[in-house]
Amino acid sequence: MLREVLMTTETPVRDPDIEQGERTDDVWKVVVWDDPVNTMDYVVYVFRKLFGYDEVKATRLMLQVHNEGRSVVADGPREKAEHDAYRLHHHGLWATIEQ
Amino acid sequence: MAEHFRLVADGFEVSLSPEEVVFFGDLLRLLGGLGHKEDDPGAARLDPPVYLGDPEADAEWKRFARTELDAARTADRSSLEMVLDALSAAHARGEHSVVVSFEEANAMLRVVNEARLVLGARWGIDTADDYERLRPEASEIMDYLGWIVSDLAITLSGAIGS
Repeated sequence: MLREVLMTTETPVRDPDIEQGERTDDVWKVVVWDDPVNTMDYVVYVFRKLFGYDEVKATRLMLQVHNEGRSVVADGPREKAEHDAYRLHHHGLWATIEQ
Repeated sequence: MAEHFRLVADGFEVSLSPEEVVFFGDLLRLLGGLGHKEDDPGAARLDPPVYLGDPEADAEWKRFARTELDAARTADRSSLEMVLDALSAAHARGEHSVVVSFEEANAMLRVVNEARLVLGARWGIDTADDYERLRPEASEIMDYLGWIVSDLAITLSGAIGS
């Protein structure tokens, strides 16, 4: 199943801020961790490109990563979370998933 | 400093000097020799864990994702190689830029960022303070690549809109 998910280029965008009320035990969070090499402009661009976030939201998430060390940037079923982590790794960001 | 990237009507314009084309070719050779050696911090930086504290789940994820990631990165590097070839041909004609697709521009962005991550890891950059300890040549390369990455990202953001 993972292989099929990885081959899919588009996934629906789920906003973790809006859909918190729908969280269940099956919802996995996609966490991006701070690193000292990726530039702020690059991280904002990646969040906008991959998740469709506007500049304000992408910048807020980037600053949370920078200031707090990590940020939940998306969530969803395990397969979607793994796919998001894959796309973030392809762009050089360190992403993990957790429940 | 000359403008390197610009959105144009039919795509994304890339302007690099002949020296920069050679330098980016060197970066491609660096990345092409990476592999998955665990004792290479550069290779490890591109292959981080996805499941913290669950080695079994992480190994399972890597079994599938690593092959796909390797293929995607190889495709990105081939794309950049073609852009560099086109730039070399343009230089031979006395021109200094080429127009590429957004897919090619995004591939270029990922490869340059990847190279910066690998070099940063090999040069021991674990915190922001570590930049102060870089030798001058390494510091200059990290600054230059960081500038290219940010310039590319900001220019490409213009294609997304607000």
